[in-house]
Amino acid sequence: MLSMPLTHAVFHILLSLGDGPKHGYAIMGEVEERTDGALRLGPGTLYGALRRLRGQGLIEEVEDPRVPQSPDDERRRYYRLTGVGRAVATAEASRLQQLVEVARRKRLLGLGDGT
Amino acid sequence: MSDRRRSGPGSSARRGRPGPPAGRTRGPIGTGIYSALLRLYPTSFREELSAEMLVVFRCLRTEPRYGGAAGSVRLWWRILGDLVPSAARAWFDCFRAARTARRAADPYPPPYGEAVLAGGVVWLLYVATLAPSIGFWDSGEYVTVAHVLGIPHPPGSALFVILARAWEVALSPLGLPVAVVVNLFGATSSAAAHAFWFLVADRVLAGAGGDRSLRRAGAWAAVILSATAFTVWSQSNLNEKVYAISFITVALGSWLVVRWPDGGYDPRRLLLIGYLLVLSTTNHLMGVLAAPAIVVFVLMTRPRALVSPRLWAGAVPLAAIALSAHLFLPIRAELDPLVLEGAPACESMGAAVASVYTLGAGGCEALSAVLTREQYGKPSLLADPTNPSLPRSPALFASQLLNYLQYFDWQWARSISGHDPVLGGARPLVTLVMILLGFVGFRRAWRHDRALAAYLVVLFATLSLGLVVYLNFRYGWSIGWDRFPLVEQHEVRERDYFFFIGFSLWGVLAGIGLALGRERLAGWISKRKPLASTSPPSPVPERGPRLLTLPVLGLALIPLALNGPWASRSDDWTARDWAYNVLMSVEPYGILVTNGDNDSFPLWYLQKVERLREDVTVVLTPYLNTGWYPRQIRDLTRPCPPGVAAADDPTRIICQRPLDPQRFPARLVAAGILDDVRPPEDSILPLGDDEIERIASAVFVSRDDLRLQAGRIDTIIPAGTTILPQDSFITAILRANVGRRPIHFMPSSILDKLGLTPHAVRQGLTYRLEEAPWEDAGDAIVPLAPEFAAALGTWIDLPRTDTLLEEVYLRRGRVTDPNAPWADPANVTIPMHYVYAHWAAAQAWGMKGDEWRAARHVDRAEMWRRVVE
Repeated sequence: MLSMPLTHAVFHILLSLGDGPKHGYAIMGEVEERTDGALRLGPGTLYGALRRLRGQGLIEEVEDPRVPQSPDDERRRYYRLTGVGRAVATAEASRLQQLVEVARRKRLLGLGDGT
Repeated sequence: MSDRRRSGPGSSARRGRPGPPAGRTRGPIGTGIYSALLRLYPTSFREELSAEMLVVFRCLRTEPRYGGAAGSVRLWWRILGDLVPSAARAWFDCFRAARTARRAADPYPPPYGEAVLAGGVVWLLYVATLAPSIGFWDSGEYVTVAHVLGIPHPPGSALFVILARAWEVALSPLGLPVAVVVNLFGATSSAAAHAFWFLVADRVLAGAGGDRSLRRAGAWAAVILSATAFTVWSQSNLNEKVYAISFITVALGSWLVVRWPDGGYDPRRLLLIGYLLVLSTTNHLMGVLAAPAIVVFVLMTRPRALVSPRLWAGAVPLAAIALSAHLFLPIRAELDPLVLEGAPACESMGAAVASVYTLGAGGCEALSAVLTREQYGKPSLLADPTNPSLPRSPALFASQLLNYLQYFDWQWARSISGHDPVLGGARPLVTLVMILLGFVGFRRAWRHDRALAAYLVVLFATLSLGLVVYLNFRYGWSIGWDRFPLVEQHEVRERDYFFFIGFSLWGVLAGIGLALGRERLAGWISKRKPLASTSPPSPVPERGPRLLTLPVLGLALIPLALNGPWASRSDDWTARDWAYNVLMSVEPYGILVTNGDNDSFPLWYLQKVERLREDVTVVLTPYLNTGWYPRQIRDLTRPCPPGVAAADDPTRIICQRPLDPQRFPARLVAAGILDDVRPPEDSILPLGDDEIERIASAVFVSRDDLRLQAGRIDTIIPAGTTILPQDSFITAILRANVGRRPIHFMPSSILDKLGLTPHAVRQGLTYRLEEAPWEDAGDAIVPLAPEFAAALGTWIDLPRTDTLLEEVYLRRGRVTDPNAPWADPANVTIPMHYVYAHWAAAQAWGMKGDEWRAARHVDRAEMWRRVVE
């Protein structure tokens, strides 16, 4: 069962998949980079979340797009957003955007100067 | 962004590298460790994702920031910090998914949460009315054996002792009194049983086509009507017996068996049920009474399951494991615990095992005697228990049935007609309603599920009629005295507790019936307003009529109100205070000869649990007719050898327990009770084992007058008197101790039998034996009027009795409330002991001309007499 709003980790995972399929290690890296290391997913947490998201129909597995370089080259699991997953991520992003707008109006955030 | 972060996994991904350099690792050991740690995840998780996780792990290890020793530490810190919570979450997801799958496949998903809530509500009721200490009869014995890991009366109830002791240890951080802890054990077991009844009632209604509302209403009504039935309630808020474990066995067994078809007739469930039943026999045979109903249910649903070789291949070793709990008895008996009834020690472990696995038919004689309850000498089912040479007549059986009906009638309206014991006042009307409701509940089950209905009817029949036939009681304590005036023709107490699981089951059926009745009423109201709706009639009543008829379910609360004052044990200190008062009546290092449960077991509790007046030796007269008990009191009173103290292990028989002067009432100390007190130098019974065995087996009728000489006591026991072992042992105790240890008797016919009445001086609730009381007659020792001697005694130590009655004895709680009922008619003798003591004091003061003191004692006697009115 999907509960809204999404958890911090789940939203970041969906965001990572927003621009195309990725494997777990790439997701982990992008989340870490985007959050300046504030959110550092471990393998168990990451794959647990991916498993749940797949069960909820928000993401799906796709074939490893790489061309095998050798017979013993390990195949990887790649994940991408489903239509539902994209809609959920969009809804969550909109919700956060509205919150940010409110924060701006109340002068809790700078007006685009990044402060 | 720091260089460290730039060297992380994001950087390679951003640069478009399609994946990590698989297989590039710094070494296989770390990967092997991580691979092993992945076993912490559920199998399905591991099978799906462990390869991916290992790849990620290897990738992480290749990152420069995790290089070197410090980097390795950082990596493992990250990995382990992730492992524990994510594995826990994976297991949680796994269980939830399994549960969801099970529920989806389950035709009748059980309301476990509500069942726990129902059990919790029942538990709160029992805790609110919980006894603050021990009660009469076996309560003190069971609290004591739980505390000292002792062995209670046959069949030894090994499972109870083990569980109750473990419970006591588990709750010890709460600092509650031991009696409360053991009472809580009973209350919790009983409440848990009601949680299972909730599930059973819900399942019965679900199988009968009830919707959610009807099922829940029925289950709640069932639990309330069961839990507040008089005997169920009063057995649950005081651990007087070991039946709470039997109760939970029957309720849990019922739940497991009625759910058996829902789970696809899994044979493992039958094994579990069988294991529970056999395990329960190591507590008491009561729990096994569910077996006939279970067999009938299985025969009606999946009979071939009973002839499956695989079932029996599993059942036999499981039964052997379950029965092994009995082995606690011989093992603990070897260590001489303070309570060691039947002394089931064995010559070898092999003999003990043979005894356990032949169910007492062979092996160790002492253990078999305990397991088969040999000491009770139960008469044949075909014999008249009041005279085993006569057959069990139809008239006697009718009386036994009436006795059962009397107890059934007590269940849901005990306070109506108060002390009227048999079908009094308006009580039978409430009982009739309950009988009708029970039949309504049963009829619904019968129409929809014959096997389930057959289970319920066989279970109830076993727990009611079956028990009446099997127990073959003498005439009930409160019935038939006009036709059967001898005490020996009657049971020594009310026996309603034997039937309490059956009463509970009937409450469940009545609760189901009540919910069905309310449903019928709501349906009738729905049909009465056809113009209100154009839709076709619904198979279930509308919401409005259901709400309207909700108060009907409130009828289930009637027993709560009508039984409450009788079943509640809160503020009942009577037994504990009785024990205190009796023990304080005895001189230091005195011997106190008692008669039975009520003047012995509460004293055991006070001495062996609260460690009060351990110096007094309680001699329980009927137990002197065994070989083991005289040996125990001999060993318990022998002087301690140098370097040995009884306190070395307060749970075992070691040697004479010391007197603790700190725990004497100041008033008695001021009266000089501790002056010139010295520890005894000999055991109270200086006999060898062989001599004890010889006396214990000798019953004879004296052909000539027998002379009993002990110190200056010189009495005659007339020819033709039947001399039991208890008489011989008491005689031996008198000979060894008169003039050495103070000797007290609880009022009893044995004083007359041994010609001791002229030497008995009333001292509070007890009689103190004096060699020549007439020599001291005067200020202290006062003669009493001969016409009342049978009740009051021949002499009274007036100053001591006055001090005890007025300044030492405790009288707290319910007995000070004139409106509180005395719920057990069979032990009204307890308050009467106080009445007699006050009357004796009143008479003595009257004879001395002190009318004011005499009147005060008469008033006090009257207060006690009103307790049992």
